[in-house]
Amino acid sequence: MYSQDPDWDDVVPLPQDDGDHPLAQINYSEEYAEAMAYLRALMAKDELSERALKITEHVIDLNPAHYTVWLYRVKCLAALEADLKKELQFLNMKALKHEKNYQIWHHRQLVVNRLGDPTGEQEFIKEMFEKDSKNYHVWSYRQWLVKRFDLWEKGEIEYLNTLLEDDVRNNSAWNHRFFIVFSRGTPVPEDVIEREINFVEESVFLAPQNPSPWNYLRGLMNRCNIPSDRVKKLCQHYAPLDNPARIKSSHALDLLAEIMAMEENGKESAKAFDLLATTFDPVRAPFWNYRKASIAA
Amino acid sequence: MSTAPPSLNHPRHLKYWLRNLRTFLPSDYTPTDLNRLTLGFFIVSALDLLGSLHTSTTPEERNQWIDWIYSNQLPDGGFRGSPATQFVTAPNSRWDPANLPATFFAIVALVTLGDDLSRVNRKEILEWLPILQRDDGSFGEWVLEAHEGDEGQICGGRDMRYIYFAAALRWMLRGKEGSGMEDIADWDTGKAVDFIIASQSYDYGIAEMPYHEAHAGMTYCALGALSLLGVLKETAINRDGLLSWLLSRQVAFKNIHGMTEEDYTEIQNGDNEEEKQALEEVELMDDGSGRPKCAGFNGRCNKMPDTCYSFWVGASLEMLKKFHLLNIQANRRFLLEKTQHIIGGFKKLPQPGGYPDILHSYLGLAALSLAREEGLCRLDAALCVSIQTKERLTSLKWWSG
Repeated sequence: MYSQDPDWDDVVPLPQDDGDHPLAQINYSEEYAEAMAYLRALMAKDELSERALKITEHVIDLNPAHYTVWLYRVKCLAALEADLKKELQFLNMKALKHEKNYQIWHHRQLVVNRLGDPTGEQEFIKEMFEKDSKNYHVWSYRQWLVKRFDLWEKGEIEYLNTLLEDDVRNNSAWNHRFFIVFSRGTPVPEDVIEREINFVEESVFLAPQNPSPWNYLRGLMNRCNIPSDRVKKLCQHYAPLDNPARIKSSHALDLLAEIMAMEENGKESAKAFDLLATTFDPVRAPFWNYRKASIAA
Repeated sequence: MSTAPPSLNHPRHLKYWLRNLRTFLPSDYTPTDLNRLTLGFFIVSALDLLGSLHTSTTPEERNQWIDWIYSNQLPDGGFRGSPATQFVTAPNSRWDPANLPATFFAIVALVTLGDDLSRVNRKEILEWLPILQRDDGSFGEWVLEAHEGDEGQICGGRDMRYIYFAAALRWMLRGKEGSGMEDIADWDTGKAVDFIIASQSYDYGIAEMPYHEAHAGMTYCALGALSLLGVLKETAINRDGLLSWLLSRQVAFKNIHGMTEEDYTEIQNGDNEEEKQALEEVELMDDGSGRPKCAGFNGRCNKMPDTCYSFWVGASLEMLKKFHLLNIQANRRFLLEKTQHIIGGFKKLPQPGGYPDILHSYLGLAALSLAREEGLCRLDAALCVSIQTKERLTSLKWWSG
């Protein structure tokens, strides 16, 4: 209770004025209402102090999506020349507790940027991914980290291999892979392209009906020169049009239909779309019929 | 097995929303405290979609809510996200800033409630938008003013959502022919469009920013922005690829989607092979078509279906004029049988237990409205409000010119 605390004696809390007829009024806990009233009192006069830092922690704990309190905290840290390593420990606790929160990761970016040192970051991200390996904010943060500290060749691909070994369907990891290989704006060496095609082939073998590697393959095809025969063979292996009973992947069938259409083999392409609509992906039957019609046109 | 066809429980939804309107939201909503104007919009707009806003509330009440929304407008343009940042007796504009999403939601809520926007600081808002834009074309969420040698800064992530809000505000407040706002410098729409194009991923979905993972909510924001900027048709995005990506978000409802994580783990770790196989089972239509009975949408590749993506994906398809290509009936059954809650509203996930929440309850209604569900007003996909609300705005004298 701030009202009983001698350290806060001099502060006149600023209670919230909701007006007489508010919308979406929330039944605040007494604790939250009081902490907010004292926080407002400090923010109103821009007080950057130890107690300000403390109360931001309290409010963040109750409402981590409070968008101004995070930046106010940054200003406090700067004014107090606070130990930013300690701030990271604080952020670790908050991130593990409020997994879905975005502000925490934005704040972390500001802190680590100022520290100028990424030591320990990959380890902490690993801990987050053990809880949820598809956490959007954490993956976004990781991209920033790689760019900011030039970590492209510091174990990213190796780490992705482990993650995808655990779960070959982790599309976030596939996306990060594409980022690592293709976003640097420099030409991608032949051996890297070969490595990536092999990786796709191995992943497809493990789970032919997993869309992620098939999408990744399309990305590779758009970015570099991959012999179309090789892709066609791969598709035909998982989607033999002459033996529909052995088709194992609707994604192979889809890609094959597209390749056939490009080769102006309308008959085979139509057959593949029919198989998708009737047997291998009936959820999207209207779409496959539409695709078939647009190729015939 | 014959069961009654699923239906929208209109009276329950109405009750749910009137409760949100007239009583305190539970303290679980504390983490959304800074988005009170957003919550306010969902509440009035849900009643609007249900066709009940003007029959279940009085003109006097609506005027009082309009006044409350205006009480959150800031003199230099824009609305604060919540009265929680207002200092009342000791104003400090630096820490009580206008918030971009809140400004959008405040204005659409005002129109929904029947206001003519005559008290909105249109000029100031339009002047504020360019300040929020970054060099790469993206937008921030709010601006921290400069103070005692401390430089001002644009705050918030690089994020597709903010481009959407900027485009929507520009469309709403400039009016058809500029309507007296022609002299106000515009933000760089070309740069924002380039940012959107660069955010289309290798799998053709759109991400929050370039190279991030494609996400249906971000895709909606990107298409909504292009649509409201009037350039959706000519923008160089890969349309066929995007269409395929959007339709791939629809996933047949499997047994595994309808159970708690504990139950799922128990079966996974057990040795009952039959139970394990049943996890992946899909209930099919009994017409021999092989189509699934229920199929909702996920927001990213290989994720679970969730109520809100029925809207983000459905509205994206609607803007591309391809809504008819999704499996409308299977989506309808997913929402009405699996996530509609017995007390009204919608839950996020089709698992047993859990309660409806405001966001998912609104987007569930919005998704059904796109599919012309009986008992709901029709929805405008790009603005996410009823068509009559949009028409109320476009028929304002200053808007239509």
